[in-house]
Amino acid sequence: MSAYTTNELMAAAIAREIEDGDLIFVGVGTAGRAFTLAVGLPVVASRIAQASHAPDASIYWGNLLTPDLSRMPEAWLQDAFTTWPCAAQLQETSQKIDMLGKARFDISFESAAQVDRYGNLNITRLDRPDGSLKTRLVGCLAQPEHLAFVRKPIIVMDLDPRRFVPDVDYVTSFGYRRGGTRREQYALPGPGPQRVVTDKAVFDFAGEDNVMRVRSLHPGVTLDEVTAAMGFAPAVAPDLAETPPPAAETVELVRTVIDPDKKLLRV
Amino acid sequence: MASASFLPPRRTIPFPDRKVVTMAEAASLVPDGARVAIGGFANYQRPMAFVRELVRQRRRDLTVVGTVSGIEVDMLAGAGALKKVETSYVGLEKYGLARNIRRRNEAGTVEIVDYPEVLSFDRFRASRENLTFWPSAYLGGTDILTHNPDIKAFDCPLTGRKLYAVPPADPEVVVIHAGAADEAGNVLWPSRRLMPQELDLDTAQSAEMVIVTVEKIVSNQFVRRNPTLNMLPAYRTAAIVEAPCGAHPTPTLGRFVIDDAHMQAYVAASASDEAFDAYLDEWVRGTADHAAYLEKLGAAHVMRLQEIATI
Repeated sequence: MSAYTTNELMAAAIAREIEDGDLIFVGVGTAGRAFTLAVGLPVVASRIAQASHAPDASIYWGNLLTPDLSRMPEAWLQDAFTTWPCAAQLQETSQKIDMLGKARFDISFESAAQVDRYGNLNITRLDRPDGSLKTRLVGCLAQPEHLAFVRKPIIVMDLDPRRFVPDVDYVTSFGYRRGGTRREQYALPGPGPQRVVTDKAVFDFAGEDNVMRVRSLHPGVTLDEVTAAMGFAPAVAPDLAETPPPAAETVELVRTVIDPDKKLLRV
Repeated sequence: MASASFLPPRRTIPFPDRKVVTMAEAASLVPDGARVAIGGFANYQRPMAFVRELVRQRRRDLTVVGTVSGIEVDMLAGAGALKKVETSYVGLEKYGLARNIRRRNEAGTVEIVDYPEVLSFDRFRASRENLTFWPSAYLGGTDILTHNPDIKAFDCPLTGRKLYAVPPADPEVVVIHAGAADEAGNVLWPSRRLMPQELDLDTAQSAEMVIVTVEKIVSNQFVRRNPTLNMLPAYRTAAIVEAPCGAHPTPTLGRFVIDDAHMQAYVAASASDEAFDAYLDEWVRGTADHAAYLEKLGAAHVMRLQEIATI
């Protein structure tokens, strides 16, 4: 067995983006790889951060504040969210969504069917070239609000030229720019997506146009492999680095304490 | 003098002449083409016995307005009862995509109008407060706007800021599933109530015609002993239906957990129109009413779904 898996590397990379005291919003995911990207990696990363440099980072998961992450539920359903020990379980829907609208969340995690160079995200529909509907996706969820209001949205996706596209078919959530229109014009309170953590590299959004930029390559991955896995050419940081591999004790923590049953990082 | 002319047009559906009705009577209050809100959240505490009765009665052209939608919308879509849904999500959580509505939407027979999750909730707030729209400041640049002509841009008259007027939910009928109600129509919420129950309360405030299916009809004396739990007093409800295990296969707080095996069977059946038709023939059209449905599930099976979160 290798010293660490790609998921463990991604979780450690996400964990480094979490600061002490951050309020972290985690969604309720579906199944398979989509669950790992939307829920598994964010939760594991949050716990890695809490165990190292960010002991006071808190997780808001569903409507639970600081759920007891040492006691994971049997099944990932709203059902489980009603009986899970936690610090607070806010009943009133408006309590949470008003917090979102007042920009109280520091970190959110986004995955999508498509993302473009400006961080526009599509989780709603895939279209044919003529604009007619080809594939229906899940909808919007609260992703438009995340990209509008959260201080540091982190996109978590696998690199794939069908997912990293020149133009998304439908802008569910606005990133930095679309056509000639820039984010400032819409007076959104949040700064826009801050990082893209993938299975091959970590990106930020840089320069005057906030274009997606390779910041670090995972160990053993070349820049050519990264660009070959994207439908557009990303910018490249002048000080392109290697993504630091997770420390041995981090890997140990994930495997023995955080996710011993591989419920979070199954696939 | 107060005038109703500035309110959004609403069809008034006549109330039944008594509160406690049968499921068939309650479902018949929803006409073809009605605009309906269905209680619950994701795949939690949905009034599924009511939804099944709508399918038995072959209701058509319904519009469902929701926040985070699940199996209740997917079943109506798969049964050909749905014309349109306005929501932020339709899916089955860990059970994956909602395949009936996806297939019908891609075929062009069911329309999906997309709203972000917070705004889909705000639309119910607007209806509660009888507002003609809810203002949003953050839709700029999205295709939520370009695909939805009902959302209109305007300049804030106080700040000059560009805002978007989002239409209210304005359901004609709300249906929720709750624990208990009396014959007068007072509905009791559990003392330990959670986000989905609170959302039901929000939803129930958004319409006049509120139909409540309940696990059990209790005495008025019981209500009077627990007045703090009476969150939906009789004057807010139009009809009450007793439907034990009425959210099956979704859970009901303090009563039943999700029926995992049935959800799996549902997902398998939703793979094709033919398979789902067979599911509906077996479980919905093939059962005369909710009692027959419970009979088919079997007492042993239902009893295993009891929730014992605390002793």
